Amino acid sequence: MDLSGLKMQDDQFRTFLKIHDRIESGKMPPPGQERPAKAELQNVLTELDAFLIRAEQLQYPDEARTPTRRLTRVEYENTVRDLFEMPGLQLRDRLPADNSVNGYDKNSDALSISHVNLARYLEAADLALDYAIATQPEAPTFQQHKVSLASQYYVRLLIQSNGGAVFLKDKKPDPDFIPVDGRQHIDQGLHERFGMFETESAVGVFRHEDESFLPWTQGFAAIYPGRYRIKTSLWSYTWDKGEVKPSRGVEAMRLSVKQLQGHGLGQDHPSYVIGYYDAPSIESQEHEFVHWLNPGESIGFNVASLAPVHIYHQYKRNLYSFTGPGIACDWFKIEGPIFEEWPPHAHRILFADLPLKPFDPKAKELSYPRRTIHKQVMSGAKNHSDPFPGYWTVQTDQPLEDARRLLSQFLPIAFRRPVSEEMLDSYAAQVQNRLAAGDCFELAMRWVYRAALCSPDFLYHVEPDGKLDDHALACRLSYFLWNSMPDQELMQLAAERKLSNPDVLPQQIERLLQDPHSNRFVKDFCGQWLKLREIAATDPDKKLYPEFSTYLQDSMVLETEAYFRELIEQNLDASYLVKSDFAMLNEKLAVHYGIEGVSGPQIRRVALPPDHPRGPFLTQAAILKITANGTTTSPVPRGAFVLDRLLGQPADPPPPDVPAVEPDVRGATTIREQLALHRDHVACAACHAKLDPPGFALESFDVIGGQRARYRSIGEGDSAERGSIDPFIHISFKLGPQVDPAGTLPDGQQFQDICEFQQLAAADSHLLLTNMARQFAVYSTGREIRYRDRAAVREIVARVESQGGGLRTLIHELVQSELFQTR
Amino acid sequence: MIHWWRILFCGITFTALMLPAVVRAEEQSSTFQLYGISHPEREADLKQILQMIPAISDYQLNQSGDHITLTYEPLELFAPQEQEQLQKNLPIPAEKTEQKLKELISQSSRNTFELLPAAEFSEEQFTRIEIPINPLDCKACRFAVYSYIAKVPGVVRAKISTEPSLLTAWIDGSQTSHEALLKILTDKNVPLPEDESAAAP
Amino acid sequence: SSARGAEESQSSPRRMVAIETNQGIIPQFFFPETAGTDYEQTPYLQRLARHRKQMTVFSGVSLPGVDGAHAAEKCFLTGTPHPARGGFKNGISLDQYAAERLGDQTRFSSLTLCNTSGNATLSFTSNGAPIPSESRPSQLFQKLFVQGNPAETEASVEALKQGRSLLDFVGDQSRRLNRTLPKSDQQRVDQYFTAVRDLEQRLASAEQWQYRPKPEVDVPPPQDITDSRQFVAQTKLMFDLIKLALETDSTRFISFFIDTTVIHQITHHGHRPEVIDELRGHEERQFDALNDFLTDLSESAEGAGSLLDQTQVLYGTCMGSANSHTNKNLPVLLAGGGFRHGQHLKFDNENNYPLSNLYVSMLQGLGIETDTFSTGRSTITGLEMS
Repeated sequence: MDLSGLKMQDDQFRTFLKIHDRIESGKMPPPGQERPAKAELQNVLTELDAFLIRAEQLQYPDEARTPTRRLTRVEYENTVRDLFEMPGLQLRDRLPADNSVNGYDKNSDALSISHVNLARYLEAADLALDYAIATQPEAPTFQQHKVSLASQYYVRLLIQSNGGAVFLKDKKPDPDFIPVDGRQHIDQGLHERFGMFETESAVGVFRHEDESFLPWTQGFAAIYPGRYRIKTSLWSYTWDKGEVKPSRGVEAMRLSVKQLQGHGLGQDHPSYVIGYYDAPSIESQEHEFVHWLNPGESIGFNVASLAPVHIYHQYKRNLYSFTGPGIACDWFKIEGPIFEEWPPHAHRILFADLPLKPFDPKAKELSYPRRTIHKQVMSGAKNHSDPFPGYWTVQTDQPLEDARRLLSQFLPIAFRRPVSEEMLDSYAAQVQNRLAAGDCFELAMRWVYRAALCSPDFLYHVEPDGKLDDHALACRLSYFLWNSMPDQELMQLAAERKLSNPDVLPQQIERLLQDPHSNRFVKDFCGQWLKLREIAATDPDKKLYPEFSTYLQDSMVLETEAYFRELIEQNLDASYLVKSDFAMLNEKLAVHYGIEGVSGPQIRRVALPPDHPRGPFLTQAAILKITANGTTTSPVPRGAFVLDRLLGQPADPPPPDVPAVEPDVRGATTIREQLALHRDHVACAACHAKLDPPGFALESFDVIGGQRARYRSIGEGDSAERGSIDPFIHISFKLGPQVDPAGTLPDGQQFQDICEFQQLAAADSHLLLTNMARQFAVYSTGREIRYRDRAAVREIVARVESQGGGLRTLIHELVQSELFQTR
Repeated sequence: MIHWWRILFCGITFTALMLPAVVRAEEQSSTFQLYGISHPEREADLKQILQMIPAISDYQLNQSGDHITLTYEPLELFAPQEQEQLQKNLPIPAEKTEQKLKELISQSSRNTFELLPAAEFSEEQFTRIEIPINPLDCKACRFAVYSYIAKVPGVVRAKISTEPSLLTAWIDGSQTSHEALLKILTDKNVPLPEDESAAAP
Repeated sequence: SSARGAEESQSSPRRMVAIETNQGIIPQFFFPETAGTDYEQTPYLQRLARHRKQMTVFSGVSLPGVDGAHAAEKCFLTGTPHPARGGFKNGISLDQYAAERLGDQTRFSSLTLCNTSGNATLSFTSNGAPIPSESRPSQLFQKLFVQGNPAETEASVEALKQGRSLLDFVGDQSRRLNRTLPKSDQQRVDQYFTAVRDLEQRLASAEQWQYRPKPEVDVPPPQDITDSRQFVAQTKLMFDLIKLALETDSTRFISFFIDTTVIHQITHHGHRPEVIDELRGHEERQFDALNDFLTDLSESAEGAGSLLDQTQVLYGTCMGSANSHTNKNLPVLLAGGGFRHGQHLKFDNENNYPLSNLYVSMLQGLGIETDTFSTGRSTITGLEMS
C-alpha cells in the first residue's frame, strides 16, 4: 500500500482514520470474518499511522499547534476584572457571543473577530476606565443601612392585602400589623403614611417569586461601584393558622444581584444569583459576605425552597385558615462602599501616586474629562449620594516622563509579558500627540489606556513559536486554572525564568488550584465540557413536571460543579465520571433523588450505599436535563452526549433526510417503541447500535433527572403518587408505560438497568481517563487534539495511570507535558 | 347658607397664666380643630408627633378629642435663617405662626394629623349616626375608615370605637346623610356586617 | 410622511425586511394543499387574506444541511449548514450581504432587531460573528429620530474622530505584532486588522451623518415592553418602528428576530389538543400583527406605488414542526418587493427545494448581481419580478 503524496479532503481523512481505529480496536474485520495474522494487521496499522501523520502535516503545514487566538468574552471579563481588581464588573454581556468548536469557545478556530467585536471592545474599555479612574480626592462616604424586606412596594402589598407575607415580632405575628384575615388591610397608601411598614419587625414571606412578584430590597441600591458588606438574618417557621411554629427543617433563601434599569425598576430577575442561604427553624442565623456591586444594583431575594403557593387564591387571603412554611428575614444590613485604600488599586495601576487636583471644567486652554454626577436611581432607597465633590483630576508637571513611567508599569501587566522599547515609544508618542491636541493629562493617558485595552496585544494570547517561554507558560497556566491573566507571583516567576523549573511548576499548579479563582475554571470548563451553560435552555413542561423549580435547576449546576471540584481535590480516578460511592448534594437534590438525611441548601459530600446509581456526572440531574427537551427524553441525544463528552467516542452526525421522531405524550407509545422503527433502517442501525445503549440505560431518568419506573403522561395512564413532591404542588400528570432501561453494548455485553450499565462503563477507566486528558488538553491549549497528538496523550495517560489515575495528577502531568508547553 | 359653627377661640391668647408649668416668656398658645384622633389609641401617636416639634412645649386635648390647644414658642417654630428675619418684626403675625404649626403637624405626621380652624359645637345641634363595621384589629385600618368620613362636608365629628366596632359621626343633615356615608364606606371596600352593606344604596 | 434621505437616487430604493419567529409555526394551520394562484385558504393565511395578491407562500422548502433543531435559528438568514456540529462557523446573513453592497446610502447600513435581548440575532458578519441586536424600542427610536443638541453633536463627532485615530493606532500595533508571528498566524491578526478597517469606515460614515439632521416623525417615543410573554405586543411595537425607519429611509435592510422562547414549552405539545389550541392562539395573534404590518406598508405611498412594493418582507421560521423539532418543510412567505405574487409555490415535501435559492432571487430583486448566496445556486423557480 503506497499512500504517500495523497492529499486528502477532510472526510477522506476521517474515513482512513476510522479504518485505522477499527483495526486497532479489533472491530475490523468484523467478528465472524476471516482474520489476517496479527503481524500482518500490525503492519497495516504502522503504515496507516505514518500515512495519517503525513497526511495531517500536508493538511496543516503550520507547525504551531495553537494558532494565535483572542480572549473569549469570559476571559476578557475576568482579565479586566483582575487587572483593575473590580471583581463584579459586568462586561461579557456587552460583547457579542463567541462561537464554539466541538463545544469549546476557547478553540482558536471559534475565535474570529470583526468590526462588531471591536466596536464593543471600545465601549467595554470605556466602561472599565470610567469605573477605574478616581474623580474625587476622598473615597465616597462609607454608609451603613439597615433595610427591611418590606422596603419593597410589592412586599408591602403582600403584607397589606393578599397574605403573601406577614410582619413577625418576637417570632410571633406582629400585633401592630395583624396578618390579613380574609380581607385586606384597608388602604395601603394610608398604612404607608401611618408608618406601619417602618417597623423593626421581621418579614415572613410565603410567596415564591413568580411572573408578577419579583422581590428585591428597595431600601438600597448601590450608587458607587465597589465592594459592599452584606449581612442578613434569616429563619424559617411553619405558619399554622395564625401561629408561628417550628419549621420542617432548614429552608433556603436565595440572594441575587438585581440590576435596575432606567427609571429604577428592574427588568429580568435576578440579574445573577449570589447564593442560597440557610434559614433554620425559628432560631435566626446571620449571614455575612462582601460583594462587588455596580451602580444601580440592588439585592434580590426569593423564598427559594418554598413551593409556589398563592395564598390569595387558595386561602382567599386568609392567613388564619392557612398552614404552611414561611421564611423570615429579620433585616438586611448593607455597608459600603468599602475601599481599603484611596485612590483604589484600579486608579493606581493607571496613575500610580500622582496627586488629584481641582480643575476648572470651563477652562478653554485644555480639554478636561466630563464627570458623571452620581445619583440614586431607586426611589425609596435609604442610601444617598455624597454632595458633588467638585472637579478633580490627576495632574503632573512632567507629563511626558510620567506617561512613560506609567505606561512601562501598566503595559507589561495588561499584555501579560514584557514590552519592547519600540512599543513603549509608540504609546508614549500618542500621549504626546494628545497633549499637543489640548487634552489634559488624564484624557491623554485615558486615550492610550483605551487603545491598549483594544489592541491586539491585550486581546490576543500572544505566544512564541515552539516551546513556550515562561511568560507564555504563566498565561497558559492561569488561563487554564483561573480563566484569567496571571497574577503578580506568576509574572514574577516568569520574569525570573523560574516557572518552568520542575520544582516550581507543580507548586504553582497546586497554588492555582487551591485559590478561589479556580472556581472560574470549574465553572467555565464544566459549562462547556458538560454543556452546563445550556441548563436553562429548556423549561420543563409545567404539567408533566410540576415540581421543577429554578432552585432545583441552580442546585443541579452546583452539584455538577461541586462534584468536579471534589474529583480534582480528592484526586479521584476517571471511573468516577460514570460511577461513584458518594454524591455532592443539598437537601433539594437529595429529596429529588430520594436520599434521606440532607438538610438545607448547602452542597456537601454524601456517602451512598453500594450500587446506588447517583453521584457521577452520568446520572446527575443537570446532565439529564440538558440532554432532554423539557417534555420528553430520547435515548439518542443522551447516548450521543455520553459517547462524546464522557467516553470521548463521538458518534458520526446523522445522515441527511432522516425523518424526525414525532413525540407524543398522550401516553400511547414510548420513545423506545418509536425508535425501534428507526433502528430497523439499515442506514441508521450501525450508529444507533453505539448511540442508543447509554441512552437506554438513562431512560430510568426523566427530563429533570428524577428516577422513574414509568413514563409520565398527560391523558392516558394511572394516577400518580405524590412521592417526595411538595404537598402544595398539584399532581397534574399520570403514569404511562413502563420504562425499559435494558440494552446491549456493541460488543455484546448486556445490562438490565442503569447500575449494570455503570459497572460496564466504569470498567474501561483507561478510555475515561484518555477522554479527560483530551478534554483538558483541548480546553487549555485552545485547539483540537489531532491524530499526531495521540502519542503525547497516550504518554500523559500512562504517566497518570502509573500514579493511580487521579484527575489532579492528570492536570499536573498535562501542564508539565510537551503538549501543553508547546504552542 | 347658614354657618353652623360658632367661633369660640380665634387668634391667639396669651396663656402664661393658665399653665402651671414653667413657662418661658415668649410662649403662646392656640386652639385648633384637630383632624386625626380616630380612636383613643391615636393619642399616643399624637404625643409622639408633637415631641418631634421642639417648639411645642405642651398641649391639651378636649374631651371629644377633636380640639387641641398647643403651647409653643413662636419663634422656634421657624428655621434659624427665618428666625433672623422674623426677630426684626416681633411679634410674629398670628396667621404666620398658625400656618407654620399646621405645616409642621401635617409634615411630621404625613398628613395623619391636621390642624383646622377651631370650631367647637354642641352635639345636640347635629344628628348622631352610628354605622356598625366589621371588627378592625389594625389601627391604621381604623384610621382609614375615619379618614374616609371625617372630612366629608357636613360631618362635624367622627370617631371609631372597637367594642362594639362602630363608626360614630355627627352630621349636618342638610349636607349629608346616613346613606351617603354608608355608600362611601362600601365604595372604599370597608368591611361592613352583611345587613349593613345590604342597606347601602 | 416626512423627510426622506436627502440624496435619493432617481428610482425608488429597494429594501428588505427579514423576519424569523424562532419556535416554529404549526404546519397544518399554515400550508395550503393546492399549488398556484388558486390555493385554498388556511387558518393562518386567512388572517393575511388582504395581502393575498401581494405575497407568495412557499411549501416544501428548507435550507440544505441546516439541521440541529433550535440551533438552526441562527442560520435562518445565513443558510450555513450543520449549526449543531462541532466545528460549526456561521456565514454572512442575507441582510448583511445586501447591506455590505448597498447599505452606504442611508444613515444606518442596516438594523438588527430582536424583541427580547441583544444576544438573539439573525444577522452575522462575513466571518460569522453575531451582530448584537437592538431590543428596546425606546433606544431604537432615540437612535433613529432624536436629534442631539449642537454640543452633543460636537461631542459625538469628536468621539468618532478619536475612535478613528485610536483604530489607526491599534491597526499599526497589529502590523507590528504581525511581524513577530509565523505566516499562518498573520492571517489571524489580519482578521483583526480588517475588523479595524471596517469599523473605521463605519465611524467615518457615522461622522458624516452627524452633520445631517435626523428625520422628524410625529409620533411619541415608544414605551418598552419588557415582559417576554407579551411577545406579540413587542412585535407590534417593533413593526411600527420598522415602518418609520423605512419611510424615513433611515435604513434599507432590517432583520428582526422574534424570540418566542417563552412559549417553547408548549411547542412540545406532544399532540395534546388543549396545548395545540393554546399555541395556535399565540400564532394567530402573530399573524395578525404581521397582517397589520403589511397593511401599514401597503398604505404608505412611495413613488408610483406603496412602500410594500419597494420592500421585500420575508417571514418564516427555522422549524417545520416544533413538536418534532425538524428543520425540514419550513413555513415561509415573501411579501412585497416588486415580485409577481399571489401564488403558492409548492415544492417536494420529501425532497425539499433549497430556500437559499429564494435568497438569491431576493438579492437580485434588490439589484445585486449574484447567482449564488450561501447554499443557493440559482434563483428560485417560479418567482419572477413583475
